[in-house]
Amino acid sequence: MKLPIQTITITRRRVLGMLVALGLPVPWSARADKWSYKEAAYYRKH
Amino acid sequence: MGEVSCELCPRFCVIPEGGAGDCRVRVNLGGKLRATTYGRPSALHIDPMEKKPLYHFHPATPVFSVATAGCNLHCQNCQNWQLSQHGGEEMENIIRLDPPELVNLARERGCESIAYTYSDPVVFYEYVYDSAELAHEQGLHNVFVTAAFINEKPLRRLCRVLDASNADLKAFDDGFYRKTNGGSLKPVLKAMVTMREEGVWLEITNLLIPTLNDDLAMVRRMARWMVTELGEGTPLHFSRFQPLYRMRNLPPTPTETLERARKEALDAGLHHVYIGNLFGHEAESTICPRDGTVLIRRTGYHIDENQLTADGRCPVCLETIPGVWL
Repeated sequence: MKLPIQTITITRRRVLGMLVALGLPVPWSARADKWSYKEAAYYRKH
Repeated sequence: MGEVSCELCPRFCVIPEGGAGDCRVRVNLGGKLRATTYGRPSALHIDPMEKKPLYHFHPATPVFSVATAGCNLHCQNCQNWQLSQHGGEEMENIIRLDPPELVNLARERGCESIAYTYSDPVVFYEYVYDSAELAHEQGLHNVFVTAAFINEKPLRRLCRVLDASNADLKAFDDGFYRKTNGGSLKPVLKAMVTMREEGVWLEITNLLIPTLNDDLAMVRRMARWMVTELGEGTPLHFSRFQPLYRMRNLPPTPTETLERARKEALDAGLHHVYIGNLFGHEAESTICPRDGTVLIRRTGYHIDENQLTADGRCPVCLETIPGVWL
């Protein structure tokens, strides 16, 4: 069965949200080909 | 632990490790803020300059338009919500196109300008800056189509590499910004003045939404503010609302509303007030404010006739029409 894209997207966001809530690392690196890791300008570390 | 504060826009998001800012695309990874859509656009297109809309900047030239996912506003009537109201991880189309490739592609396709547009380019600031710098080196112009919800310091730096901007003034009312766009008015006005001060050619768009921001007294206040702070020659585009995204309950803006708003703005002292998103209306054309000669006759995005002299004057009375014409 093919799930609609919206369902996959919402599920993915919920999983990522749970990882953040549990203090676990979010697997951005799993999509390394899609993402840039360019350091942003104009931010401040706490 | 490991939190960062993003200082790019007036939201000043405090972002925990692993989290993203309100824009969804600026992400705290390992205590460093990353611009995750840098060089990863999700929309590319060649548009006429008139579509931005910029009517007083290199008319009838093609502009290479680029956008990534994400936005720092959340307008209920967004016309690009599939792009702006999603993070990069939700996009089906993401291509790798780093600044040198973007600039080369724009040149290959015969474009004289690059527009950072569709979503709000504020959120892919670093990509805009690096691309715009390269574009300038190669003789291209840079156009920033924005809601101008950005802090002064990053904007002043960006203005060094920008040539023109169409900035959205969504309403002259802070309550409207908070309710409909999730932003606030004051930083937007400040950003517009900053762009003007920095010498970026500026045109303003105001989308008139029936019953929400079409009050003529508010239009008058907005036009007066523009005359005082941006100058009477700053073009204003009243744009027709279409029911989209989360605001499908309201009808398209009636023609009479747009015409009344235009008259109000002209009476307040603005010289160039246009009506957009209303194909074939006479207020798509540029008219000499001194003698009424039709200088540039437009139908939609198409220019039917351009009577301006080479140095941007009315051929009849020689009035200088503000803009960047060549």
